[in-house]
Amino acid sequence: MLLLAVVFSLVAVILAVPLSHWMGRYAGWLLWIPLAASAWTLSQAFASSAGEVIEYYPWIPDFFNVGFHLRLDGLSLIFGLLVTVIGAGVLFYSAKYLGTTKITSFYLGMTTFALAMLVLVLANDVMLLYVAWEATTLVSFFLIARSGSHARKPAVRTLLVTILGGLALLAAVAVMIAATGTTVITEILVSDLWTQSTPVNWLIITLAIAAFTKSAQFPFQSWLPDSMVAISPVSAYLHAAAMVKAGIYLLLLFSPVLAGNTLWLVLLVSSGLLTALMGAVSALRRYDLKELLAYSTMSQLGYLVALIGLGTPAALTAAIVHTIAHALFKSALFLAVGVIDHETGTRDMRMLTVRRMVMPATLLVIILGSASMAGVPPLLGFVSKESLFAAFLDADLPDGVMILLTVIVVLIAICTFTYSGRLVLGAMGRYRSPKHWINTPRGTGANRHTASEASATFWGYPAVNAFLSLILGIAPFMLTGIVAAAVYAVTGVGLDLELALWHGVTPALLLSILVIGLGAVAVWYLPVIEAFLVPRPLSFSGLGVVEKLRQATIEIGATVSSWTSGLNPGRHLAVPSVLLAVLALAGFLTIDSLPAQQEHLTRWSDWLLVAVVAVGVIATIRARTRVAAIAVLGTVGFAVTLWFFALGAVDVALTQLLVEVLTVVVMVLLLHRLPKTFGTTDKLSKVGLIAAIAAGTAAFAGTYALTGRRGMSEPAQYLTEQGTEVTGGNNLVNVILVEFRALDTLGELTVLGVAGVAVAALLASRTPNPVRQATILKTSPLSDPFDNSAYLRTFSKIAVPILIVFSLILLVRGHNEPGGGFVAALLTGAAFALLYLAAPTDDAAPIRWPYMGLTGAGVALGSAVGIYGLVDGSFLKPIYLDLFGFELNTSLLFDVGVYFAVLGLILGAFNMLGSERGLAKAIEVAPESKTDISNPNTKPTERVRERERVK
Amino acid sequence: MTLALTVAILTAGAVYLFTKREMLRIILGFVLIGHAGNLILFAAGGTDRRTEAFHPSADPSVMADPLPQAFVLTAIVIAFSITVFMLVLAVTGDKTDDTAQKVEELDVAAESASDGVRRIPRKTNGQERP
Repeated sequence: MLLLAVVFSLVAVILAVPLSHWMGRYAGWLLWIPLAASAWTLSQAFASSAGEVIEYYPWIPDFFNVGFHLRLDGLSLIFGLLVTVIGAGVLFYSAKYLGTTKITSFYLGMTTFALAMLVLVLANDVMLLYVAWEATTLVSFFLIARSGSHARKPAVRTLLVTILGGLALLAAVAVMIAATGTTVITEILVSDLWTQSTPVNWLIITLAIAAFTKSAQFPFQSWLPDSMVAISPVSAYLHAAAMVKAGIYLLLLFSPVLAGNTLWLVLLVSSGLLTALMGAVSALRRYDLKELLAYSTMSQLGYLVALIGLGTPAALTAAIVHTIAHALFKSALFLAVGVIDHETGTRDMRMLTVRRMVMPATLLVIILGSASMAGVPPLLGFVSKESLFAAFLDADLPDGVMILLTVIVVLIAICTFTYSGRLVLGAMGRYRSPKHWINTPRGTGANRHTASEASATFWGYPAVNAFLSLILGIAPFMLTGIVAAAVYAVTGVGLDLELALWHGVTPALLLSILVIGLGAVAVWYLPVIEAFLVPRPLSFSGLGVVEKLRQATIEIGATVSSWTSGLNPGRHLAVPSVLLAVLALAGFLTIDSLPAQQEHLTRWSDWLLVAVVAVGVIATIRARTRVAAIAVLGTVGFAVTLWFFALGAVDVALTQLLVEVLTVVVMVLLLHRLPKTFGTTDKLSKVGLIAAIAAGTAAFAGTYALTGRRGMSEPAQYLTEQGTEVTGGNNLVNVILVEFRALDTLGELTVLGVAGVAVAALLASRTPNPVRQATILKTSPLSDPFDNSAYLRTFSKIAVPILIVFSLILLVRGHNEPGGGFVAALLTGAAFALLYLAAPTDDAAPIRWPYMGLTGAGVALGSAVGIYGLVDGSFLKPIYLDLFGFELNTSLLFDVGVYFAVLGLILGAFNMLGSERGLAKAIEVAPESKTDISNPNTKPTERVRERERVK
Repeated sequence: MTLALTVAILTAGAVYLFTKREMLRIILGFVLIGHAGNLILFAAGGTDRRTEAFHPSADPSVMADPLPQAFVLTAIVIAFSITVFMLVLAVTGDKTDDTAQKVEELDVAAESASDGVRRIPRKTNGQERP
């Protein structure tokens, strides 16, 4: 059942991209369904159990038997429901909130986040918990960063702070695993680790850092307001309802073994209350409604942390109830502010004063949410706030401390009431600035723009949450069952829980009345309070510290790189070259004797190849023009090809031959963007010669010393003797590529894909050099590419189909005879190269396939074959299929994947580099600025067109 | 012996090209050293057995080692993609690929200046001046 809930969330992730493409922003109206199904599954699983569901699926059996171990109890049920239900609601809401762009990234991020968060709260394995924890951090980073360039720095700062917490959690996880020898949370919690004081203190500190960073507690609180550059649905979900609650969940998870520990109590209560107070005061100083809510979230989370620190059953109960209350009202408020922002174009309460807010539903949501936040009866916030007061009054502490803490809590509550009132007034456009602040815009009543109500599908979900706050406040007993289960999970004691609106006249009630009374007065005197608070900011800012750290990190990196950076590549390359010589010298000095070399290592024909290579290399380094250097380099390539043939490597030789051809083609495509001749003088440089001779000698010595001094390696012996029997393929090299070492090959395909993307990115970010203008007389026969290419065009019409058919044959027969995906793709690429060379103009080149997609498809096909191999036990295991009586090996499909990936890269290189249009497409030049790229071929193109028209 | 000599020539040529200032020459150097690396892989498998590794036509006792062949085959294609990438690097950015003619500006420090980092003054020594 639990796996089913996770799978439902996964379905949302999988559907996110296609639905965003088909439905645009309205994808949210479908995407909420799988999350709701997930929530339903969770509640069903819990209802049909005795308070605990555990499911185990193996994951990493070799490492402490780490598993995909899921556990549902009362606590994870509450958090799981918050994640899935609010997630579903926010997705539904987003359909109306989003604009027309960047929809896919939003839905993909939000659904992935929901999945990660669900796994986090269900995890019963510390490794799984850690992985999910980091996943939420990363997704949060992307969801903030996608808001645009202004969001980049806040996103990085958020990441830095939360990653720090992730590392702390990793340390805690490592300590737990090392000390207990297990990764299962339930087993760790009952182990005797928690009786030893030193590791426990370290665990408390690391867990607290993890939780404090995630839940924005002092001293790591600054990222939360900073992250408000994300759009409202993201803030509502990640930074109010779900992600920031991950820290709370972590603390509650380990509360059974840590509650009552003095360090735990001091850390959590002090940090929590300090954050709560700072947040509440800061909220009074903010004009941006969303920022106000961000500080308020910080403050409310501080309450929760302090309550968990107290650790009494009453405090933990209050924490759980307040978690629910906060998730409901805060998400409602964030979303409602999002509605206001969307409809009026501003969230600044000073700007809203010049609007006539005719938004009854949205404002009602804000009023209900704020009332719950302020702790006004009969809302759920009142119930939770009262239990909070009661928890502090009954805390197991010395009287003086208890009174001090209660006073602070009441003070925070008064601030909370005040900023809630400020939020309501601000949202209604009734903000009043201090009287003597003449520069602040103030509503004048005249010429107000009317802001009208949004559609019900927009404010609908926030309204649901707001009314839930009301209903659950009037009838809190509806929560008794689920809260009791959670309290049982956290404390281990079955409490006789009593959640009610009216407890009779208790000290807590009196405190509530005091808070509401003083709060109301404070709301009345808000301008006076603001006049006092706003000009007195805190002398330090956590954000500044994080920003300084971030800049310092970059500066250190820049300094370190400045030691080695320089524009002379020779200096970089000298280091490995010198080291090679040193290595050879060291080997020469330390190795006394070598085993005898085998006989027949050299044949007389080899000397011819050595001679050709030598001539080619000398010609390459002596070449004065670029085109000559490339041509003679080809000689070396062909000599090496012959070497491969001589060594009995047919497939390798074929590959080398084709790569040689394609390399020359690509080089020629780019050559006209570089000067004709090399700039440096003709003289041989002494330093270069010495370095070359040293490196050459070292390479010779090493190769000579290590060649032919032992028999065939064991794996090679196995392959030559058993390879064919095991796989049924006669071509051992191909068999190794697609079966024995298929994972390597898959990795290499990915490298090809990355290279393609890198080329595209490079062209997009750095404009290529203009093409060198060739001066050809108009009367010269060379000036007409159409006539010029007649021969090649005619030839290619015959040759290209033959080449392509031949390449397909090579592909299919590769398992048994020379051939395979690499060779086949290169041959197809060569055929297309011929088409390119034959084309009369750059733009007439005929292949316009989506090359990136082709490479992607290749990698995807390879991975799919790999995953299919899991059916028979392992990734990439080849499986024989009987398809309509025709025997098919999945390794052939894998080879097809290789074919696509390599072909994609070659086509990408041709298209991006070969024609101006392809280049423009690669660098996304807008049509009107296209002419900026000088195009020497414009005229011939026109001529060709004219010619075709005449025909 | 012959294979080791070939490797030596290729490596020496590559290192010589590395000391040059034009990107294209350095790329050519990379191509050469790629060849050298591939041949070293072959050397690791021994050069006495040179019959193509095909069943059942070849006797396993004289068959060439197929393992380095498989390594080299993928290495060639990877080297090709890296060559393409380096070529694109060479033709983007500046008018020429000759690094000797550039003023030592617009470097890492300048680029990271957009991140709000102070620019780090660069040391220029005699070798780098045009």
